Amino acid sequence: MLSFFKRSRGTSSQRHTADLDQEIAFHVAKRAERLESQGLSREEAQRRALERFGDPAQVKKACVAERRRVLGRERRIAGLAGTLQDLRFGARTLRTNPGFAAAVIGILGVGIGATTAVFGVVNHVVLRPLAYTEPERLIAIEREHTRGQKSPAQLSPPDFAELRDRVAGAHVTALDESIILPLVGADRPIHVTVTPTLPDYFDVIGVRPILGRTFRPDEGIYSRDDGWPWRHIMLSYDLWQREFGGDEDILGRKLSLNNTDGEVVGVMPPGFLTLMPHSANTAEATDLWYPVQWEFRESRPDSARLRGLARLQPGVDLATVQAELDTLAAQLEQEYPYSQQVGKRFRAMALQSGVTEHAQGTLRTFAAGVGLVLLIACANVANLLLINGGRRQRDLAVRAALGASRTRLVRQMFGETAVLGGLAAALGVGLATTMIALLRAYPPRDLPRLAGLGIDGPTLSFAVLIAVAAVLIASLPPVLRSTQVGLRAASSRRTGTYDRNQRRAQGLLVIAEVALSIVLLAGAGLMLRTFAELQQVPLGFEHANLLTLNTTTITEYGEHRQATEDALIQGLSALPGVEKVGLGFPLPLNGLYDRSVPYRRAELGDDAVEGQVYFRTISPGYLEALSVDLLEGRNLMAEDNTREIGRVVIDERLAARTWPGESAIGKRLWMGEGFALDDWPGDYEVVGVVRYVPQGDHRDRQSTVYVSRHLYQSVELGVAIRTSGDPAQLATAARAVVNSVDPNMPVDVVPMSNLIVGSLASTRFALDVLSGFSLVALLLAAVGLYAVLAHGVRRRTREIGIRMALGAQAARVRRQVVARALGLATIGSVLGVSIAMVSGRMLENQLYGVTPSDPLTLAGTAAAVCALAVASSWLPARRAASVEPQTALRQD
Amino acid sequence: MSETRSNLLRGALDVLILRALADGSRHGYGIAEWIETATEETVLLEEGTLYPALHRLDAKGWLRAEWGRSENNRRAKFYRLTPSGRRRLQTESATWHEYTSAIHRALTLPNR
Repeated sequence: MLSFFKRSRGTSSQRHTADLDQEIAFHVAKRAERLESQGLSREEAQRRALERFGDPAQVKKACVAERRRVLGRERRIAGLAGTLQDLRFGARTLRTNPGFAAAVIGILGVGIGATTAVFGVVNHVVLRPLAYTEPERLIAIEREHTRGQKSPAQLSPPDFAELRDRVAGAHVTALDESIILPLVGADRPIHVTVTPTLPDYFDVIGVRPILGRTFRPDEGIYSRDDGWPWRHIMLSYDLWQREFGGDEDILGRKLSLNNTDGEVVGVMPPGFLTLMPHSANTAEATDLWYPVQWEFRESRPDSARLRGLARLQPGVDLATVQAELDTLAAQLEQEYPYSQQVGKRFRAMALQSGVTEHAQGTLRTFAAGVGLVLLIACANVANLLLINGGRRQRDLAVRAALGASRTRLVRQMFGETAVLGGLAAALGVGLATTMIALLRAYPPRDLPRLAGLGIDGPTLSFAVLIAVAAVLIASLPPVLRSTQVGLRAASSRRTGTYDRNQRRAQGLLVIAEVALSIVLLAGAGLMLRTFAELQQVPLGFEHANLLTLNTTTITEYGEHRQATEDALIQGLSALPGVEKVGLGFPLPLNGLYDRSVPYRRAELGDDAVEGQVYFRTISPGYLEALSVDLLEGRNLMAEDNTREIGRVVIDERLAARTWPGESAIGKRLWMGEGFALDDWPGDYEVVGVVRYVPQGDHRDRQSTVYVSRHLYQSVELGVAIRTSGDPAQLATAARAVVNSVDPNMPVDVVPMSNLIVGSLASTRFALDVLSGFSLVALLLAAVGLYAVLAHGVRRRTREIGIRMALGAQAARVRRQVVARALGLATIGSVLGVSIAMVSGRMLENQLYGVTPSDPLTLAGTAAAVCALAVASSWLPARRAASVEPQTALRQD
Repeated sequence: MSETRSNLLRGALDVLILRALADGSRHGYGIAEWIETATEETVLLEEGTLYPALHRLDAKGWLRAEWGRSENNRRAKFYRLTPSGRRRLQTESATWHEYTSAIHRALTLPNR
């Protein structure tokens, strides 16, 4: 095959053309002779002969074209064969140096693997379009108050009604707050996550159920006297499979949701998620939906509960709708006194970016981190290739002398790196698969739509692309250098002095590595400080020896429900090992629930709002069970709240902010519509002030108002159980108590310490990932530095030997090696710290209690890296100091 | 002279050239003459088309060209088969036999 390609064929094309003229002349003459011999006149024969031949110019052109065509195709085939040969050659060279190959493959593999894993997550969570019909036309609509208060992002029911009726550029629908409800009708009572929607929700997002139908426009109409609004329900595929075994006869069946029957009208497809912006706090993995609608304009304008969602009309863009919303907001300020008071703006955003906005910060950090790791890996590999290339200098020089062309040498070097890159890519994909499996096993809470994450087509292609890019980047410096070597080194046999260019190239690479790893390490350091700060945040209650229990009751509101609550408290208090029991909802750090209401000092005018507070209904003894310190006044008692009087306990922050410098006791506080507060007078008397408890998570700063459950009994019950021993051991007994009170009450039991871990999980996750990256980066930088120093010492053995023979002290030689390491590390540190001060701002909204340019963190990081530099110079320094002048001089 | 007679398929011209050279080397005109007599003047070439074909076959390495002396001692370029050209002729002619007899069979099927 090869011999066939290589055989030289004929002669150059110019000669061919010259030959052709002669050939054609001969041919025509011959033909004319022949025709003449058949009796034609000489002229006639000439003419006929030419005629039979055709146009000589055309023929010549065709000849050249034919030859080019054939040879061109073969050259392409030969090129391919050459590439294969390059690869084979590469593999062969690597087998002779397995340690080097393993190091390069390992380093590049880690870089490619981490990059691929992060890309997989980013693509899955952020880039992949939402699985709705024409998702680019879906938008979310939130509201913002323009007069300087922290405002809820949701729409009030009257706002929603106006948007729905008056926005022309989009079809507006909404979802209500997700809740957890008890479902009876499956094999056992369970808690289900429920999201109420406007009836047209599924039609707006354009997703059809796999079974049954979507809601009809007239479904879900209810008023306050009708009881619970669900008459029709839609099931998630998962709930249908899990609890009803995928039974197709489910359609038309009545299921008891919180003691009210709802008829199943459909089942959504597998993997369907209810995706809304993070601020909507809508349960992504909803189990069940029901339609709801009421006279929206009759609800109070200060309540905010509807999450706006809309589909742009064909040909209308986001900006147009935003303009429409701005006009409408101005009009509403005239029409609604409340709007005038607070000032109001609507914000429309693409649903896709709304859903992913929150995760983007975290993911951008990871992408940047992983990019740095990859760059460090490339720098490291470039370094290894340089060193290895140096060792092969003579080999290359010899081949260059034997006539191997510059291109040929470059191609062989690339071939070698291509083999390395291929193996590294394979290793990287393996590592990425493991990392993604880990992520799926421990999913961070605030990353949306992680379900179905895996190594898919785009991710694989990305891995290949990254591998190619990495190989090109890493092999560029060594290839450039080696060809220079190849051209000149055969004659110059200077192996005694360490080549200055190579030394500079390696130094620059090491500086880059140090700088990049400082950037990463500083990020990890900031997250570590944040995590430590968050752990120091006072929770205001004692979390050790505290068991939490969440359940829901379907007993009737009023005395019956009171009886259930009393039975629960009694039964749980009677358990051995239980010290105090208190009931309240929701418990601190309990994820999904917000339950905020607007408040103001009662003496302020009617439409004034000073901010939002959490609204918690508790039994007497709840704050004691949580061990929340009472600072002033007294705790709530059973008789504190009736329909005539409202008394509340507030936290210290609210007290200090609302009545600075005076006692809050006896002051009156107004609270707006929240959950069933509508029937109440609105003004409450403060009877006690307690320690601040962050309700949402550790970073929370919103205050809480506690009211007695006599005022409002929620369906949901949270129980705080103070235990004398390990709370986890009481879980089974506690569950049994709930079952004995009512077998239809689904129950979740979790020690509070677990909830605390959960609340810190997303910070912890960012910390772990960044730490992992920076550890790898640091390790790579150390290895890179070590390799350069060791190589330098080896190359200068002779020089060192001479100097020692001339009387240089071993200690001095050692110091020089360490000094070079420290020098490189210092330059790298200065560079890295300056980059980190800028790049740290990316982390800003994830930090707590520490600024991006925290001097302590940055200085600590730089010090750590310099210490590591000294450590990695130790071995090379010792080797340099132990050079024997005699042997060194005899070398080479 | 009908259209079909001069409209020779390219593949056919290649194999005829190879066959023409099977008995020994010839110059271009000789090949043209050989084709004329061998096909009993059924195939009449526009003789210029012969040369691009020769170049093609030369580029593929199936034949080789050298300058020599013609019968009446004029300078002429002679073509001869290379070993791989000879192998090519064998496979090509087998294919052509199969092909032409298949077409022949198909065309001579009795009408129904």
